[in-house]
Amino acid sequence: MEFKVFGTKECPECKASMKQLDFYLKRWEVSDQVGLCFYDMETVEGLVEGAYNEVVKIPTTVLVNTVGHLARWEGIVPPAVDVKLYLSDAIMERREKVA
Amino acid sequence: MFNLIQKRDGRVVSFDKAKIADAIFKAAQRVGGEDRKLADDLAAIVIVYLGEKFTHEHILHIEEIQDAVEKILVETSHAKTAKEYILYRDSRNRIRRATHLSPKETTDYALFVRSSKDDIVQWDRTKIIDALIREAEVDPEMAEKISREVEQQIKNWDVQALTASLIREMVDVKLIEYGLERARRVHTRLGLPLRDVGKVIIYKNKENANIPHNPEATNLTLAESIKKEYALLEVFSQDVADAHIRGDFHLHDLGMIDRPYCSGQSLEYVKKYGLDLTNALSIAKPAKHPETLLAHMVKYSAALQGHFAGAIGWDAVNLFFAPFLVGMDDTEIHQLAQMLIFEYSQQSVARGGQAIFSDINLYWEVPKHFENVEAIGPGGQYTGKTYFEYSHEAQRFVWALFDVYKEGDGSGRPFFFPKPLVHITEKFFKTPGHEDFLLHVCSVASSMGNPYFVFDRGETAKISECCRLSFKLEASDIDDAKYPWKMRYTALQNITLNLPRVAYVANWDESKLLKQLDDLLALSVKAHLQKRSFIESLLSLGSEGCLSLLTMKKEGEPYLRMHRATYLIGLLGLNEMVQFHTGFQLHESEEALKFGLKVIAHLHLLCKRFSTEYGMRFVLEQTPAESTAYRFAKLDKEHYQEQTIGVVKGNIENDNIYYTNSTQLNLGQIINPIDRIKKEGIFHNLIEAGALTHVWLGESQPSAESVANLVKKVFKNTQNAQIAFSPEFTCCNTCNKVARGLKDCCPFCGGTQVEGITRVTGYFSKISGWNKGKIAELHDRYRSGLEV
Repeated sequence: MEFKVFGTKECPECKASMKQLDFYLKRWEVSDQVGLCFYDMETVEGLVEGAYNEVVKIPTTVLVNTVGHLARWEGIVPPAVDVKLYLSDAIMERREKVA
Repeated sequence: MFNLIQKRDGRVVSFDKAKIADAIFKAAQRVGGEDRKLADDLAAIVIVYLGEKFTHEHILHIEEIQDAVEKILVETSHAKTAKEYILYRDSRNRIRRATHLSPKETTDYALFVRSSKDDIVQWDRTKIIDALIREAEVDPEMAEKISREVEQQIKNWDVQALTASLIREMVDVKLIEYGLERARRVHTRLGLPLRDVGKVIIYKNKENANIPHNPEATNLTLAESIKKEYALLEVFSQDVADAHIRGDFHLHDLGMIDRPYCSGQSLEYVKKYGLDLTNALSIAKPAKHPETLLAHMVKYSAALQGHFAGAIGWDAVNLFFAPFLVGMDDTEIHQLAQMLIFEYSQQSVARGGQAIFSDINLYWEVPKHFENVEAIGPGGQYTGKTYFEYSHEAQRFVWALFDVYKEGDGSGRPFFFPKPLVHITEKFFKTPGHEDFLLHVCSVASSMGNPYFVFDRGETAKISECCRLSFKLEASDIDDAKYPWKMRYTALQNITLNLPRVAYVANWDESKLLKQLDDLLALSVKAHLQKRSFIESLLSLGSEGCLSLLTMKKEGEPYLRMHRATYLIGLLGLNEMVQFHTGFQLHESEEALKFGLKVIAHLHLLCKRFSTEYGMRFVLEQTPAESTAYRFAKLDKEHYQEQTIGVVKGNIENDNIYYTNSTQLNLGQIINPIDRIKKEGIFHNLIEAGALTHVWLGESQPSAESVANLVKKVFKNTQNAQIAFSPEFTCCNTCNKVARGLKDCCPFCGGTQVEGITRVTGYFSKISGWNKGKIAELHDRYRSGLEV
């Protein structure tokens, strides 16, 4: 799984999305299972990935796995409760490993 | 009265008073004068003066007359004209002196020249010298040398008569021989070979399917060919002109170099100010009746067609008509709708016999930015209500318009113009009655194909026109919406990039490919600056210039708002570019699609950078490319033969070839419509000036419900900017009936005099007027009945 955050360097919500997601992944100890990538919508690479993921506003966060899109948050910082819900399997797997 | 005068060469010829007046008038014109009558009066004074000074038997010498003209001009306080007259006389004298010619030398030779002014004059070598010095700034010695060599050449031929154009060509050859390329360029004569003119007059022009074949249309074609040459020689620098001629890019509408490309208009302007056009023979006050408003709108469109190369689009037509419709019953509203559509579809008596390329933007809801705007009603007066309060009338009118579209013309054929652009917005889905209206429009889309569905998602608002062009409204435009008559937009020029060629030249080297794009875009920007500069020079002439209509000012602002102009960078053949570079077409792999996106994203950012740098709006557009898709493919097949093999589309054997338009997927591939719309749509947010996906219906006629379902899905689940459904028709010229699909003969009467009709790029037209590339494309199109 991977979180793709689409934004710009100057946008505070975009920065907040990245920081909070990074914090959640570390807090729930799933950083090694779940990726997090920022796409700057003012670069060619960011625009390509943004267009491919049909991003129309920033920040947009998309959660994908190998099959396709799992979730999408547009214009907001993804709420922790939502994020946790989508990561529940990964969190459970992590806990089982630790146990 | 004097009867004779003696010229400098000693000849004695008849005295002609008109020639004195001509000379005075020409001098006056050069300093801005335009009063021919005054020139005639001054010439009469000159003759009176000469009569007092000389007897009538005296044979006046030309110098005596010129001295008299100078004296009279000065004494009658026409100092500016006098100065110009004296300077011109002096320059002619200097030229004569520079040539060291005795007048006798030039008259010894008995050769006659058919001049460009429809007369036959005796050979005069000084005319070559004069033209070389005056037009091409060649130094007098060189001009003298060239003129002597040309004269000798002509003497060697022993001919009695020549044309001025041939002499000019001979002089141009000499300029080339002496390495005077710049001088040759400005000394060039523009025109067409005799055979080509004959072909234009006899055969139909297939560059633009919207041009019929009649004398007015051939005038248009011939005039355009001269202006095209002028543009390439005079308006654009040589590197720009060469890039166009080579086919690196295409400068659109060169034949209309003295106009902006196309425009978006506001009916509010016509409602508020009436029909008050520069150079018009009469002025009409603001309309008081709906039929009058319609007449004003149509006439205004025709006037604008003479000042823009392309489309004339009108914003929110049903809404702005609404205050005039209060109290009208359904029959009356239907009649008005019918009048509007027929007026625009039958305007083929306007410029070059062309129908006005017209678009009407239509809304079911009242767009948010017009909700609280005070409505202008009959007589140009505010009604005291807002446009929101006219929702009902606006809806009745737009419904009636689609009733008319559904009926078709007198034979049941689809109307070609005006193109109805239905805006689908977030608010649309919240407006009561939208479901029924959508079904109504979709039934027209399925049966006749007219509607274009323009998707304005989120806060986006646009004015759409042309084949797919959109002017996206910015924050300042939304402010202008309080005064809707200010909402006038233009795209000044369109330049389309030959994307496949960029890939051929880069030879699979991605960094080279991106560098090529940088260079091509930089040259396109240069071309835009040159066109802007030319148009600005015409606009600066104000009411005396050819664009006076666009300079007229109401409330202090010129009609053409140059500060709000956009400069289009068109795209063509992304599919073939990607195919050559990656080995796959856009629809064939994710890698190919992402590479296509990379190219467009790269160009999008470059446009933004140039926009900031120059303070102009450079934006990407999906080019209609009616003839360019064929032209580029043909040029590339000739100059990059090996690379085009397996890449160029169509039939390479018979030259019916083309490139896939803009960023579209291969239109021959069997891809279900929603997948095509979705995939093509991912490019659309990067193409700010408009994009469109076609659904080619062919013979099939899906249910209104199926079309409506698709429209809703496209709005909610894709980023596609605009879609249109294109059925095909066969019209019988014998029984006048219309059948679905393209047939070789009429299914009703069996007649073989049939005409196919369908959408060529962004509008309906008769297939007989299509170029070879578009015919090939038509053959390849994958038709879908939306059954997938």
